[in-house]
Amino acid sequence: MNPPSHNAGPARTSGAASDVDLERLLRAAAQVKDDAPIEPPFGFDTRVIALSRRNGNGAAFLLRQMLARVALAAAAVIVLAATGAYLELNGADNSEPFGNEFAIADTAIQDEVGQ
Amino acid sequence: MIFIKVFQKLSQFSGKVPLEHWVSRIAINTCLNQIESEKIRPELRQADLSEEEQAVVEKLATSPDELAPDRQLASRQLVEHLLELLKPAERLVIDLLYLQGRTVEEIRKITGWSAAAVKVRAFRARQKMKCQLTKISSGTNL
Repeated sequence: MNPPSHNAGPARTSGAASDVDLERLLRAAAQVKDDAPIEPPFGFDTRVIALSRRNGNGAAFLLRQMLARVALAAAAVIVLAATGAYLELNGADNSEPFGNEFAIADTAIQDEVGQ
Repeated sequence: MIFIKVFQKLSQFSGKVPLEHWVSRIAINTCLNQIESEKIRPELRQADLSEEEQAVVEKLATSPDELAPDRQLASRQLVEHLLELLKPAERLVIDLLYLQGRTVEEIRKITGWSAAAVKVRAFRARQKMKCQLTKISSGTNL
């Protein structure tokens, strides 16, 4: 590809843009260096934090959120503990026949030994 | 634009997701909206140009001289407008070839395209830019 020419041509009269016009435009545009860093505007982070706190997203909001999670976890533990206790109580009733069996066995052994 | 949107919509941030994810989502949506808006209006209107940009167009049409240094910024903005109408590949090749002043060989290495593809894309992009410039110029001269 031919490098852009720096020789300006005659002014166009037909109204159609020529290669020379476009190259002049591109040469002029190339002189402007687009090296501006992409970064938030000055004070943006401070404003964001301030607005966030005003809207309830600050420390108080986080504390409430944490307390809600703790309460939820505590409720889950209570339910589990209650369920376990209930099952344990029902299980004690079921284990009574085994206790009787052992008692009968003990009595029988003692009788045997006594004789 | 993304920073402004983040600031405007900060009240909608629930705090349930990390801020970085929320900002990323806004950035992605903003970019997608921009792409959609470019699809909707692939024409550059004279009203889209500033007075300085219109003056550059007129200067190109009436004078064979190089553009003055005080018109360079407007020239850059005009070129940016014209680039928005191109396909991404064409935009890239014009940016690398003319605005950054790289050679075809360098562009070939950067993009992985063949030299012929670089030249063809540059040619097509220039044709489109010339076409748009002609339309704008005819509108300016009216």
